[in-house]
Amino acid sequence: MANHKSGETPKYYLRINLYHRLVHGLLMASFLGLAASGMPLRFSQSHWAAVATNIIGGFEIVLFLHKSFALLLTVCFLLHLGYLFRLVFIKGEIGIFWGPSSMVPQPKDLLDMFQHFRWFFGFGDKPKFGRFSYWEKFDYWAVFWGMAIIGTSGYVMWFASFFGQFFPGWLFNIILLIHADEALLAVWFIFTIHFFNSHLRPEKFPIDLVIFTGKVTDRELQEERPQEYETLLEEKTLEQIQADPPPIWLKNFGRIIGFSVVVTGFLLFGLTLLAFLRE
Amino acid sequence: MTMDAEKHRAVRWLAGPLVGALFLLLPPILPAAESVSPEVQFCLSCHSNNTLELVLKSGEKRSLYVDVDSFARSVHGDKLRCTDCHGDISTFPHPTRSFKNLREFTLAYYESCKTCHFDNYTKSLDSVHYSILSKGNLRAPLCVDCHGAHDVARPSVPKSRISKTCSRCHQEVYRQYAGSVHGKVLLQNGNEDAPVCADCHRSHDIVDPRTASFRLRTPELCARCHTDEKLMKKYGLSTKVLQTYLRDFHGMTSSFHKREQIAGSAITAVCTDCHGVHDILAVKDPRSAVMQVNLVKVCRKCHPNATENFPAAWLSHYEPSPDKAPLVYYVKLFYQIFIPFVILGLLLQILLHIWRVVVNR
Repeated sequence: MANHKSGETPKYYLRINLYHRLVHGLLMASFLGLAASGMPLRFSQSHWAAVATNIIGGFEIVLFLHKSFALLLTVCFLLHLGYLFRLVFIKGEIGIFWGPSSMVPQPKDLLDMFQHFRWFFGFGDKPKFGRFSYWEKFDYWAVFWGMAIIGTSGYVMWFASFFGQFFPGWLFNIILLIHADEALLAVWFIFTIHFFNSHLRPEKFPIDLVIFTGKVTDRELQEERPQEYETLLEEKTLEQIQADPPPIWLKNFGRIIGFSVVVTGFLLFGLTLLAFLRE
Repeated sequence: MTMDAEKHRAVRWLAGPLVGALFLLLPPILPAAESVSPEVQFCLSCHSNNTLELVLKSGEKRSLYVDVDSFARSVHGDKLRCTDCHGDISTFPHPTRSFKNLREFTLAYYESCKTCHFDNYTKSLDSVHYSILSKGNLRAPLCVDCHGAHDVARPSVPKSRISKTCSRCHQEVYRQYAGSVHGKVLLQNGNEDAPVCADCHRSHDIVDPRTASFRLRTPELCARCHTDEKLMKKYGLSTKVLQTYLRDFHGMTSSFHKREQIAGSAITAVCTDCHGVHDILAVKDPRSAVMQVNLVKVCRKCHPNATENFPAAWLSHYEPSPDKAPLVYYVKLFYQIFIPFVILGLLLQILLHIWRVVVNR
């Protein structure tokens, strides 16, 4: 929270590097594109779906866009795998698989979760979160898992006659179902849970710009990632990640993109929820 | 009406005495004519002569004989006078008109029908028959070719008469139809639940069935009967065929094509692509194209690489249930529970979070 003493510029620290921000931007664009082109096909019997398809120029164009965004997301997925590959095999950073800055769930995450719930009900203090909280790890793996499942099933349907040579026919029915429903789960998850947790939590409302600027203030780091902050202090590496304040244009860019995506996401959530309840 | 020289003169000379004589003889020789009007009887004084004919320029002969019995029995027998249709021949001797051939003769008179049947006439202008006629194909059927002229009867009594009428030109299609499940029950058992040509193709506004729009209308066409609960129950047939089709790959694609009226979208399968068109058979018939053993052949019409396993991608119009397609059923059920569970669970976590922050303030 930015209620600093007047006149004093807060210190900024780098939390998310440029590569991750760019990959997240690509992920965001392709996911939004996939959701916006996929849901009118998923709920094609709905009036809004017909209108949307019509505006875009027909279902064949919608399908074309869907496949294009799918390729973009595939590139995004491969960029991430490539990054991990480089980190592990070239830089030898095995630490990404286990430890305080790993995305792999740790025993501490389970304890954090329990303590978090205790705190919700007024027993005990808020847990001291590390670099990634348990729900952020859930976010990460949900997206990772979702991309693998929805992506694979999508490609099988895209090249149905090729895969039909190896797969039994009944599998295609399951694959269509999985693709459609797993995607619905992903869309709802991102457009409600992820948006809430990232931007609409009371601490962050109305928007958290870190995914655009990559930087957090001294105070944010201390309040939200106390354990990471302590470690950085102990290891005396805090100064290494100190950074310049984010430029105003970048913050405004983040606000514009962020709000547009959140509004679009909520709209898609509302429309698909209505269609789902009528199914 | 022109007649070639000699005949013309002969009729003209004979007319007077003949008319007089026939008037005297009318009641005994024309018993069926009682129901026809005196004006008709007047015309018949000549036209009941079955040797009366007209020789056209082409050398073709046109009989001018009118069978009074069949006219009296026709739907028009007690309603129309000759001049209602032959409006140009109200005087005697008849005005002179010349026709090159028989078809031209028919073409000159068929439009008389529109005086009363204007709706059906305008519908016929949208038909494929009229379209080929307007392109110069004079063999295209006119009103009288299907309905007859002096002997017009209700076209659907009995119902099979409709298909038989079409068969006069469309012989091969009729042969296939007669062997189909629909044709058999109607033609052999006289079951009038079965469709005849006009049920699918309509009667006056028959469109070209080879167009994309007709193809894409096929499911709703078949569904008119096949979603009729009462009718299908009689034959133990499912009424879910349309619904299950529309939910599947083909049905979804065809609905898109139809909604957007995409031309030339012959890519997606409609009812007739699998079941057959005029030669459609009961699904229980071992020769049926959609019989399990024959199905892969049908799939290969569009999916040439289809393996023996491929037809299993099609649920055979069954709704997934624990008995039919249990895997599809349970995966669907799983997601129906899993999705709300995950979303609501995580939403609850967020609400608790907000609640705590509010309380702490």
